[in-house]
Amino acid sequence: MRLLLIEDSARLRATLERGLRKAGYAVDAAKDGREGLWLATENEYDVIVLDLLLPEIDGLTVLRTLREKGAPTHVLVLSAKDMVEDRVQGLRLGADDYMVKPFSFDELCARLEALVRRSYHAKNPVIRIGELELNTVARQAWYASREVKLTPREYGLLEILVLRAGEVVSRRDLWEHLYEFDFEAGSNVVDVLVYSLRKKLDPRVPQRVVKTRRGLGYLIDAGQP
Amino acid sequence: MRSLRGRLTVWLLAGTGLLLVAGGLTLDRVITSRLRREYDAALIARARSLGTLTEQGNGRVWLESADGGTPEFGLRENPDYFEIWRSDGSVVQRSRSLGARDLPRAGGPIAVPLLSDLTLPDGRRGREVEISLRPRSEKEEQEERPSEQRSVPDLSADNLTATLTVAHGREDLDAFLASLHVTLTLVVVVLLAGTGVLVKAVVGIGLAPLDSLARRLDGMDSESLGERLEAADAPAELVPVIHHLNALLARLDASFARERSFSANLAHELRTPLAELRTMTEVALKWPGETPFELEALREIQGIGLQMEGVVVNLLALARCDGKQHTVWPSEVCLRELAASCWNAVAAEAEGKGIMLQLEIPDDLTVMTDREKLALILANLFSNAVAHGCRGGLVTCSATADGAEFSVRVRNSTDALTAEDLPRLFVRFWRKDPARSGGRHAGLGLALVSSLCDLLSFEKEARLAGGSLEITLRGRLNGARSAAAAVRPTAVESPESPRVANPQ
Repeated sequence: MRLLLIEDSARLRATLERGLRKAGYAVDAAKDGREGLWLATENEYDVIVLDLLLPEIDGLTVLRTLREKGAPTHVLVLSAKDMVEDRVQGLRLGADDYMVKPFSFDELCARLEALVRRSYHAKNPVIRIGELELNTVARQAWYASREVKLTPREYGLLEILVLRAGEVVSRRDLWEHLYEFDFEAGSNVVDVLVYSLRKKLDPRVPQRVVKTRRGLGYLIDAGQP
Repeated sequence: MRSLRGRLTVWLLAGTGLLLVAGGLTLDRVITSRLRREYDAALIARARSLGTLTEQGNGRVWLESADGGTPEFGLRENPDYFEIWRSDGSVVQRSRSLGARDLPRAGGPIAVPLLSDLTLPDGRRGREVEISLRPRSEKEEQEERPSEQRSVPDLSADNLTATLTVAHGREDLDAFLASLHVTLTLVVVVLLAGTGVLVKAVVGIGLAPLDSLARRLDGMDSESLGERLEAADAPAELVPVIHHLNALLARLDASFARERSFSANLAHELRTPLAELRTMTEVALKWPGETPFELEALREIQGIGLQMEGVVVNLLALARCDGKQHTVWPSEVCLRELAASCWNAVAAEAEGKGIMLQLEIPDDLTVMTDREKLALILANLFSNAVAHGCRGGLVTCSATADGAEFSVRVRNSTDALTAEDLPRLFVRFWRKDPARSGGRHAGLGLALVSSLCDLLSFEKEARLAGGSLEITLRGRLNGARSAAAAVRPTAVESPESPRVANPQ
């Protein structure tokens, strides 16, 4: 899953970037409102984490502009402004969640997961498709009652395909949700990642879970046994 | 009594009541006196009339008509009385109503009619008049007659005097006076009651604008401080009060806004580093064993700690200034030496930005002030100048003495400030950047400078001149030596003394 973090505090931005990447997210970061708005407009993110007191363009203006442009991306406001009216204003302008600084990193992750699930209309954190089971809170996967050890990036790939089960997800789409804006890699990086995931899920029949639609992308069949 | 309404009501009622009672009493007195005078005049006239009926002759005095010519002196209910005495005290005649009794008399010759109250022989209250008279002689009577009626014999003239006392019951007068008293009392009571109602109504109408103002003020709270009281329809007496209240509300509104801004800024200045601390430690604990990150996190945590310490130390210093808990310890301070020492606190940062200090302070310019607090002021001014000064610029610190006063001026180039920013430079937590990005300066340094200047009785002034911010402090030398030596500009480059302040 790909996040945009717009935060002016260099220390907090760096720590959150690192922590969220460790948690399996692809993270783009912006240090002010102008850069953040540009990134949010140019790219597709699952969630935007937005500070309110920002240089150049303040957070509420960023939020308002995004909503006026019709951006459906979920926005979690992360601010030191803790008054009820601040929260109400943020939520009314289109924020999907509001957290006050200082905050628990685990709680931030949980709220981000909830927003990601909401993006894909999944309410239950445990998703079962045939013999595949995915816990989006514990970020763990089981296949045929066996836990599958995945890297954060592999888990991210599986999560996207599970959340969009029955839908062909293009390589570009996968790339955009799994890698940062400035990530430089070869064109087959998604294919390599899919290959690795398939082997971990079912080494004997690798294409049983993640299927290829040539020229289109990959999918997990929603009705698979 | 603390109620204006009660005080007005009581005083108006008391005043009006006093006037009504005094008026009633005066009226009663005047009418009573007038009636008594008329009564007495009638009594005297009656006595004199009776006196004209007395005659004398041949050494005798008599009354022409035995009962005074009127039936009032006869035997009847509630009669009048008279008695005539000769000058020797012998009774000449009594009215029939008096019988053999006597009326009281003063005795002796009486120049003017003598009036007195008495109890009449029949027990009633009465009033008597005693007059002296000279009965007419027969000769005088003859002379008054027409000539054809005069008698022939020439009687010798008599010159006897007599005293006549006439007494009359005063029950009618007393009854009328009693009725008058009752009537006047009733009138006063009714007027008092009416006045009470009128006073209550008038006070109510008069104080209605005040009640309206009180209700308006009662309905105001911290959320409605932006509203103002309407003075257009208010009575003239209340207009200045409303103007003053509106001015007070404006000051309160500004004060509340400053308080809210202060709280919000303080929350931001503390919440952000706290968030940084918490997130760093949580991330480090969640994925332990990554030594480079952990070392970096520890360095950052130390920086955050110092930053928060700076905020707290400056807030504490400001609170102590506000609470007047600082004591000023004056000593002779060499300004040049102190400025050079204060620059050391920011010299490393200045070097990093290529900023140089130029000292233009005479070597022997000393002032009598609190060294520690002046050092804190200069350190904060230098810190501000370096933090917000242009890269590669110059910070100039100059000082001069003029008579009993001295001035210190710190000047740095800046392209960030405008004239509108100058009044807010010394406001707590004010930062040019509304996003308050960057943690080293919280916007307390110049506020602390301002408070310390107040403490040391320095005047401060900030102005923009030629793309530079110039902050000037002015104070009294307080007996210290003023400089006569020429200014020796010196560029200070490297720190030599220990840090003297923790600027923010």
